[in-house]
Amino acid sequence: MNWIETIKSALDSLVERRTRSLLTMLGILIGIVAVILTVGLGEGAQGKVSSAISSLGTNLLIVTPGSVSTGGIRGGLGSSSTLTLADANALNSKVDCPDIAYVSAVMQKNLLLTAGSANWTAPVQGVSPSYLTIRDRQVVSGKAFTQNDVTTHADVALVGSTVAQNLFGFSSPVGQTMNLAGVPFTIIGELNTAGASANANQDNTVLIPVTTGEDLFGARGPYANSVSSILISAKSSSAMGAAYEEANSLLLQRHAITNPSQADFTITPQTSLLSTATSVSKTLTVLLVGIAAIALLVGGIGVMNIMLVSVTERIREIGLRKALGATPGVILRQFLIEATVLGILGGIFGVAIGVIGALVLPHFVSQPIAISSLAITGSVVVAAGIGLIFGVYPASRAARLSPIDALRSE
Amino acid sequence: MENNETSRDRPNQYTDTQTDMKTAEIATSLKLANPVLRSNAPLIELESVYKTYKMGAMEVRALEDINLNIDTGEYVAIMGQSGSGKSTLMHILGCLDVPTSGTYRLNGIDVGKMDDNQLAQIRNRQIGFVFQQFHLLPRLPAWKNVELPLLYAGERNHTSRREKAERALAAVGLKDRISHRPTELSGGQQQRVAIARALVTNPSIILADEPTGNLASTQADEIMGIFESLHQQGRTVIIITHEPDIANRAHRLVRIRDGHMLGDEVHQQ
Repeated sequence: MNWIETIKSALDSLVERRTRSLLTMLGILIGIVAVILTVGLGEGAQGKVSSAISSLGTNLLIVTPGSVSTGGIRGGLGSSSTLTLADANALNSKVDCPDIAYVSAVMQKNLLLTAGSANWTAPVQGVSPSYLTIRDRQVVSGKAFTQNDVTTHADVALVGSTVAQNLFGFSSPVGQTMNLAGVPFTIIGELNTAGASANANQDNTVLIPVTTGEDLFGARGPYANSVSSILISAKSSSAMGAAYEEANSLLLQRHAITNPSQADFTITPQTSLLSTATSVSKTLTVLLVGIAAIALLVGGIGVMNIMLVSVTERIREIGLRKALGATPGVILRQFLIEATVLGILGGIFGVAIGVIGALVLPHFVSQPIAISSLAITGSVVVAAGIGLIFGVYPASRAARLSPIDALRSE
Repeated sequence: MENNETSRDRPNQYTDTQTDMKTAEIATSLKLANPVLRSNAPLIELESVYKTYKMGAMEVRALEDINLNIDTGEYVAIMGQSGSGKSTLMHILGCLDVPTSGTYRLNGIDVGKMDDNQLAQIRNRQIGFVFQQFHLLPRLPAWKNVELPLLYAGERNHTSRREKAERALAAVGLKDRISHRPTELSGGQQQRVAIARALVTNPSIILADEPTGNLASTQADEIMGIFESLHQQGRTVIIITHEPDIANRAHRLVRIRDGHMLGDEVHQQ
């Protein structure tokens, strides 16, 4: 009996028991859908995290106050204020730090903004002009502030699109005036839309010259002249290591720290943020795929169960086929094909439903789901393999049946 | 079996040549070395055949010292009550089982030492089974049921398979029932489909196990009529039965009881 005839006969027999075949396939199908969606979710989340971190800027080093490696009582990151504007200016020296291209101090405070009758609360950041270059932001209308504005402590501001919309609706914010903590600022430019980053909406922001920021919220209290972070952009990605070393030694020297492990600041390369974030989502993906694999395994056991029932039910048919000249090999092949076809059909329908799910679900759960071609082809192959593997035992039982016993059974 | 030899009035020349060709063909297909080719050998030769089953610690002797020769073209009934060993004998004749000791030569080839695959091929090419329960596959139309042995014989040409199946169905008078499913046929018609299936590979032996056991007497008559005409066409027909009425229609009667052969007589019809 050739392959085509065997496959036809297997299909006939599956169609004849169509309810049971469908239910058996359902087991495989659910497993495959689970694999496709979890792999898609994992890849989607990974993509989202890495693009969010990349959007922070290129070749970025972030200096934050506080440390992660000293003994004794330590506060969390950012809980102390050991970085100053002078540190930032020192890092900008081309002599001490030749591999650093741009430096911007960042001072940040959430403030109430008012313009006419509208009000809105947003993080206001005092930054250097190079901040826009470091973070890869553009001014889409109006103009950016300059070093001169920094020097003169100018009361000028750049606003993100979220702030602009909440204060001025759809009219242009450029040239308008808004009050920050009672001080009137002139809006000289609007920033491009950048979307949400890892933890914040980058469009809900107000940028002012760093010196003005110092006046506005840094002038009094114990943290006078302290900045919340310093952003450093290395000259190239290959210069990241050198820039890190230069910044580290300069800050240690300025803070008069001899033992590097006692440092009162932390420098975090953007790449390490990226790898931490992606490794977390990778772990999660592995876990989810593991669960999906268990679902597939259960589906495979379902196939085996149904094939065993089918062998018992068709014992006389098997006996007859053997009497008519079917060799054990032909019987084995017939049942293996039936089990494999169950697996493949379950896999194909599973992929179809999984892909539809990956297209539809993001509209409801606001999580991107990547459609991975590897997961799709892999799923169908795995489903066929599961049918085949779990079909071996029932099929070999059928093949070993003695024709006499099989024909005799009622 | 001296009396058998004289009872055969059919010319031997044609059938023996055919048998030899068949032997050679089977030997080649089974890759058997040195097949015994004897033009005057009987079709079936059983030599002191024993069959013993183990049931737990007990040994059950189903067949003891069976010696039986059947020639090509004979019409033989094997009769015995249930438990007499006639079914075991039928299984051995049909190559569904092998003897515990003794030899069984079919067309001069010793089938006692064959493995499952070779036995399957022998069944496929040499033996046409007809069962009491018909054993038709209910979802397949008549011609597809008849076609099955051809599929296992490796006949690849679909049209030729269908033609052969249709010819076999026509031979049992079911020309107009080719596409009917077994459930749409009467018991007698179903058994005729089964006979067509047994004929389609043109086997050496038609082996029928209680072929009329499930049929009303008029239908039983029809079926026996078909066997008679198959015999007239020169085919070897062996019927296993417990009914004397059926057994007496054959031309030779082998009686079996408690695993022993009791008698072997020839009826002049």
